[in-house]
Amino acid sequence: MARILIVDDEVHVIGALRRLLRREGFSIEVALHGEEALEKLATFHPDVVISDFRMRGMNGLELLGHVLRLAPTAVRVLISGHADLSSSGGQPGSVISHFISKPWDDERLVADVRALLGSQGSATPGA
Amino acid sequence: MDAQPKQAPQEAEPEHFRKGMESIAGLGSMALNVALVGWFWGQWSVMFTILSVSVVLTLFNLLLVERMARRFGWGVTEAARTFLNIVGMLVAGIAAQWIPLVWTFMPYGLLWFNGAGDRWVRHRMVTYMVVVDVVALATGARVDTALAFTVLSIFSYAVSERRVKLMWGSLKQELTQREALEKANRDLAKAHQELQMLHQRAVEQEKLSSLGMLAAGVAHEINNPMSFVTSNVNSMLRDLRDEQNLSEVMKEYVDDVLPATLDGIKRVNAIVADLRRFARGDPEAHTGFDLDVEVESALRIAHGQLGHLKVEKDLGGVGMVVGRPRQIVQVLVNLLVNAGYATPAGGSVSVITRRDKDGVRMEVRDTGSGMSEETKRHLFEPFFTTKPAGEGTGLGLSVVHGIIRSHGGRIAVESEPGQGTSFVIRLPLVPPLPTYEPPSFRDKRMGG
Repeated sequence: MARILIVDDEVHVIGALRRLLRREGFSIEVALHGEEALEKLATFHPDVVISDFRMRGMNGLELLGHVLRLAPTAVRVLISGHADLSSSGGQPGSVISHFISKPWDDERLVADVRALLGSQGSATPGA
Repeated sequence: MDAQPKQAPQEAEPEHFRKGMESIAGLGSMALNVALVGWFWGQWSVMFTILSVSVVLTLFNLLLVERMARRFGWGVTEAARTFLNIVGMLVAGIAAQWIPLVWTFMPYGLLWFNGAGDRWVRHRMVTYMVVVDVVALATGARVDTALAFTVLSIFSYAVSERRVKLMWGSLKQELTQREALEKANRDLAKAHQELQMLHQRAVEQEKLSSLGMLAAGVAHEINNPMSFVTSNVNSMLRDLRDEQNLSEVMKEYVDDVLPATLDGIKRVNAIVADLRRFARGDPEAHTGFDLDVEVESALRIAHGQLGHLKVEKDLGGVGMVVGRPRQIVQVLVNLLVNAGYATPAGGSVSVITRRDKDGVRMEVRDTGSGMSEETKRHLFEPFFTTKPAGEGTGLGLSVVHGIIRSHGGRIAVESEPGQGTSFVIRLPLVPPLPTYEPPSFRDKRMGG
């Protein structure tokens, strides 16, 4: 069962994503900000980290930068309501694997996550 | 007897100036004539001779001078006038036996000689004086009187010539200055007008760009809650559909209420997406496309809204343009739908494309209800709409404006109430790049 870490400072966003992904059979852990997410990484080894961009303290991009160092096998997904950044996905280095804009489409998000997990699995077997 | 001015008018001489001088000169010779008539009152033959000379010279000046000048030029005319004056002076002088009152005409006449311009003027003056002096002395004039009036005449002429020259100089200078001033004024007025136009355009841009920033902020704030509202309602509907034993009330929710709610949510999301496009432009990549093909595509999409109208297209084979074809289609669809909305059945909508030297020109014209000045002023502002509440979001034309601007183009509207509306779009063949910069990830004000 793939493990997903969801990071967002809005409880309801976390709730919606958790509900959506849990019913798809993923194991979910959540964090309300970057620091909490990094603490979780010590005990929880996610296959996917989905992080909001703008949060108090560390922003999503910084968090995903840390994730890249601490858990290089995890897929890093940035999610934001600000603007369509999809065309520049993966541009700032390889810090983010994928970008999803808010409001997301449920089916599309699930499909994207599955696709990312699939490619990640074949690229780094044993992750 | 007459001593009308014998100036040689110049090309540059203002007409009113010459006329003013002549009227005063005429008055002077008339006064001298009156004095002579008074002096010889009773000696009728003398008086009659003097009066005839005066009448002949006056008639010549009034009726013939202008016509002659036009026909033969001023040189010939002045020579004729000098000759006539000599004859007149001699006839009158002999008749009046050269009393000083007659002599007075000589310096008085020379006072009006114009020294500037005509190179024959001095010759005429000398001829005049020599002939008059010789004949006068031969016909019994006193030498001292002739000498006195000759000297007086020479210096009247010299003073007059000098004064006229100086006057012309300053007049010309003034005219040049006035011309320069007028030119400066015109330049200034033009610059002022241009400045005003630029200022107005800047104010418009400023207004729209601050509205854009506001729109981006609002879009972001709405997107966050809308993301979980959308997802939650979606989940709820799916979960309820999986339930087997639903009450009638819940069944109604599953069949009607929740789908309607989701539809409403979708609409809100679409509006916010429009707002975001207005604020930032769409990240669709630039590509080369055939504009006329996209126009056809836009016409197909808007077809449903144009069913009641005659649709005319006049596509000028404008060829390839670089830009974002999806956005251009969106622009055209928005304009076409608006045209369809504003035009009653039986009217027409036309789409015209042309290539010109700077790029391409697209026009969407309708024969509909047109717009007021007020509407035109606010046309491109987000949320401005003339449609009834609930029917329009007021975002269509602001998105159009944002897209055209991101292509480095311009959009203008021409419209009169009742006369229809015409939107003219000018696009460069290649937009200035890069027009779209993805917002920096490191910018902490953004994201979420």
